[in-house]
Amino acid sequence: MVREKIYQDLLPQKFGKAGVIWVAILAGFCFLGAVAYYRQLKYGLVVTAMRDYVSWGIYISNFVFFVAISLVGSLVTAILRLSQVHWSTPLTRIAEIIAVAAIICAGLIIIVDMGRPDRFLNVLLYGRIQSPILWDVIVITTYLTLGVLLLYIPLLPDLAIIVKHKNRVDKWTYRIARFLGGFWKGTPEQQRIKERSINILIVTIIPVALAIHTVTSWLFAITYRPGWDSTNFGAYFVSGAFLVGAAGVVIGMYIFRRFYHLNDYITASHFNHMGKLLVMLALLYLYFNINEYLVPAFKMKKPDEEHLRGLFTGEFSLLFWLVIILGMILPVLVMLFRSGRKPFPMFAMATLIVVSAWFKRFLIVTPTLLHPFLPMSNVPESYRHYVPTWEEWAITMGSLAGALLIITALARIFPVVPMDETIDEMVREQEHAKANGSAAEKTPADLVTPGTHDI
Amino acid sequence: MRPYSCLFIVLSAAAVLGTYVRAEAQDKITPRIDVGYHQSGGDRYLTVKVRKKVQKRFEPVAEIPVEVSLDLPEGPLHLGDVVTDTKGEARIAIAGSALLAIDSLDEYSFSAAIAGSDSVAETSESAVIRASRLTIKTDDADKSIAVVLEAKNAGTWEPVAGAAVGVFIQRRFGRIAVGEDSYTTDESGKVELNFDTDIPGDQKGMLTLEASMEDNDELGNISTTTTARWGVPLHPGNNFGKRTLWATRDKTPWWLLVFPNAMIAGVWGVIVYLIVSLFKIKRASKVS
Repeated sequence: MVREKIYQDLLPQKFGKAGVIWVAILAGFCFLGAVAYYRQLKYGLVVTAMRDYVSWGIYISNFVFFVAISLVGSLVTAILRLSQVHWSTPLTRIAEIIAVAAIICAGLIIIVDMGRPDRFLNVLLYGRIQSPILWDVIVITTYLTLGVLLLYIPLLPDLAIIVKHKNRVDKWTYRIARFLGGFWKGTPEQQRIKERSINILIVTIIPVALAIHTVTSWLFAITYRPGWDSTNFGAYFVSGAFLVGAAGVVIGMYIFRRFYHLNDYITASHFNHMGKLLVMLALLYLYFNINEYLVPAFKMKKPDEEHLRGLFTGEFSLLFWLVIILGMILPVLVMLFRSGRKPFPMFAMATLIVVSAWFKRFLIVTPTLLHPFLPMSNVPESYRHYVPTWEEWAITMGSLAGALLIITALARIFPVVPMDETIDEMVREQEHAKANGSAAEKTPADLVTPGTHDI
Repeated sequence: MRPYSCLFIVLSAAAVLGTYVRAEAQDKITPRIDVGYHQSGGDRYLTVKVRKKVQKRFEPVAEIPVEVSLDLPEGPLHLGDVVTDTKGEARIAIAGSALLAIDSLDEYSFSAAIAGSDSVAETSESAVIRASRLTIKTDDADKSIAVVLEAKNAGTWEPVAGAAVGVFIQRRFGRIAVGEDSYTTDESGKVELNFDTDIPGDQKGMLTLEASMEDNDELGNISTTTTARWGVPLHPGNNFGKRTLWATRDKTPWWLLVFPNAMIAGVWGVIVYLIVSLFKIKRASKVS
C-alpha cells in the first residue's frame, strides 16, 4: 500500500492548468527569441549592440551562466554521493535535469553568438588545439555526454517502474519509458553493471565538471586585460558555479515540492541541509571575490584602475554592489539562521543568488571590454557603451525560457525524485533509526517494508 | 480674495515666463574659437577648436559648422566648411591655390567664422602666421643633430632666435625626447645637440628623428623629420614555420598535442565503456 502511495506521488502525471499556462509562457518567450534570431541571421550581428570593442555581450554572459549552473549535476550527484551524503538522494534527479538543460542551452547560445553559425562545423574540422575556444567546445560536448549518461543510467529502474505501471501514465510517457528503459528487469547482473557504471561516472564527471568551468574561465584569464588577467579565475569561476548551481537546485526543490506535492520526499530537512551548503558556498565565493577585486585594487595599476573604478563607483557600480550584497552577503546572513533555512526563505534567497549570478557574469564579461589598453579613438559614441538591443534580450530570454522548458519537459516525462533510490535510502534510514532506537522523520519510508524492491 | 488671487496668478506667470526667457537667453552660447596652423613636412593644415565657457572653465562644443578662409589682399579665399567633433575640434587641409598663395607671402591670415543661429552666437576669429621653415640635419661622424628655425622676412629667410624647439625620436605609438623636452634657438636660429642613447631602431638600426616647434604665437606649429642609422639594430626572433602556440593547426606544439589529446582520449574511453555497459545491461535482461 505504501509503495502504491510512492508510485502515485512520483509517477509522471499530466500537467494541470497551471502547468499548461507555464509551458505556454515559456514557449512564447522561445518564439520571441526565435523571431529575434531570425532577424539576426537575416541582417547579421549588426542587429546586436556588439561592436568593435564590446564583442562579447550578454550572449557570452549567458553562456557563462549556463555553464556555471550546469555544474550542479556534479556537485549534488557526484561529490555528495562520493562523500557518502545520503540526504541528497531525492535531489539528484532535479540536479541532473538542471545540469543537462543548462549545458544544452550553453551550447546553443554559443552558436547564437557566432555571426555565421553555418560555419560551426569548421571549428571541429579546422580547429586549432592551441585555441581555448576549441578546448571549450570539446569539454562542453564531453560534459553534455556525461551529464546525459548521469541522468539516464540511474533512471533505468524508474523507467521500468513507469513501464510496469502503464495504466497510471499517459501513452507517450509509457512509450518513451519503454523505449529508453523497457529492458531493465532489475536482475543482479544488471544491478551490478549499473552500480559500477554510476560509480565510474561520478568519479569521471567531477574532473570534467571542474574542467568545463575552468576552461570557460581561461577564455578570459589567458587574455592580458584588466579584470581578466588573473590566476585566480579558475577557482573563482568554479566556486561561483557551485553556488549558483546549488541555488538552482533549491529553486527546483521548492517549485517541484509545491506543484508536485512532494512534501514527504523533499522535506524541510533537505532545505536545511542545502541552506548550510549554500552558506558555505556563498562564503567561499565571497572569499574569491575579495581576492579578485581587493588585490588589484590595492595595487591599482593604471589599466586596472579605470576598470575597478567603473565597478566600485562608476557606470557599473549599482549593479556590482547589488550583486555582491543580494547575491552573496544577504543570503549568507539570512541562511545562517535556522528560520532562514526553511523552504520559502531558502527559495527567496536562492532566487536572489541565481538572478545575481546572471548579472555577475555580465559584470565579468562586459566592463573589461569597455576598457581596452589603447584608448578608444575614432569610433562613434555608441561604441563606448554597451546597451543590449531588444533582439539580444529576446534571444537571451528565449534561451533561459528554453532551459526551463527542457527542465519542464524532462520533469513531465521522468520522475523528479528517483523512486528506486529514494526507497533504498528510506529503508536504510529506517533501519538506522530502528538500530538506534530513535524515531525517524515521518516519510513514506517509515511504512515501506525493508528490503523490498518493486523491480 | 479675488484680486489677490489674480495678482498671485499674474506674478506666478511672470516668474515662470521670466525663468523661461532667462533659460532661453542662457541656452544661446557664445563660443570661443581657436585657430591653429600646422606645417608638418609637406603637409599644411589648420585646426579649429570651438569651446564655450561653463562655470569658469571651457568645454568643447561639438557639431558646430565653421567656415574657414584665407585672407588675401584681393579678398578672402574660402578654404572650406568644417564641423567640430565630440572634442570640439575640426581640421582642414591647405591645398591647391591656397597653398600656392601662402608660399608667395611672408605672412598670412586665416579666419574661422561661426554663423549665428538660435542656439549659437555669431563668432569669428583669425590667426596671423608668419611663414617659417624648420630643418634638421644629422652628422654621422659625431652623432650630432642640428636644427635650424627660420622665418620669412621681405622675401628672405632669417633665423629665429629664442624659440622653443624639441627634438624627438619617433616610436610606433608616440615619441621620445632626445635630451631635454625642448631647447631654445640661439642667435642663428640653431639648436645643436649630441645623440648619445642606444635606443633600438628597426632591423637596420634606422631611427626617425623629429624636430618640432609647437604653439608658437607667431609661427604656429611646425615639424620636420629625418632618418639616421643610430639605433641598435633589432633582430626579432622568427618563429615562422615552427611549432608555436600561434602557428597553424599543423604546427601545434608537441606537448599541446600529447596532453590534451591523452585526456580527451581517456575521458571518451570511459564514455565509450559506459555506453558499452548500457548494451551489456540490455543483454543481461535476456539472460534472466
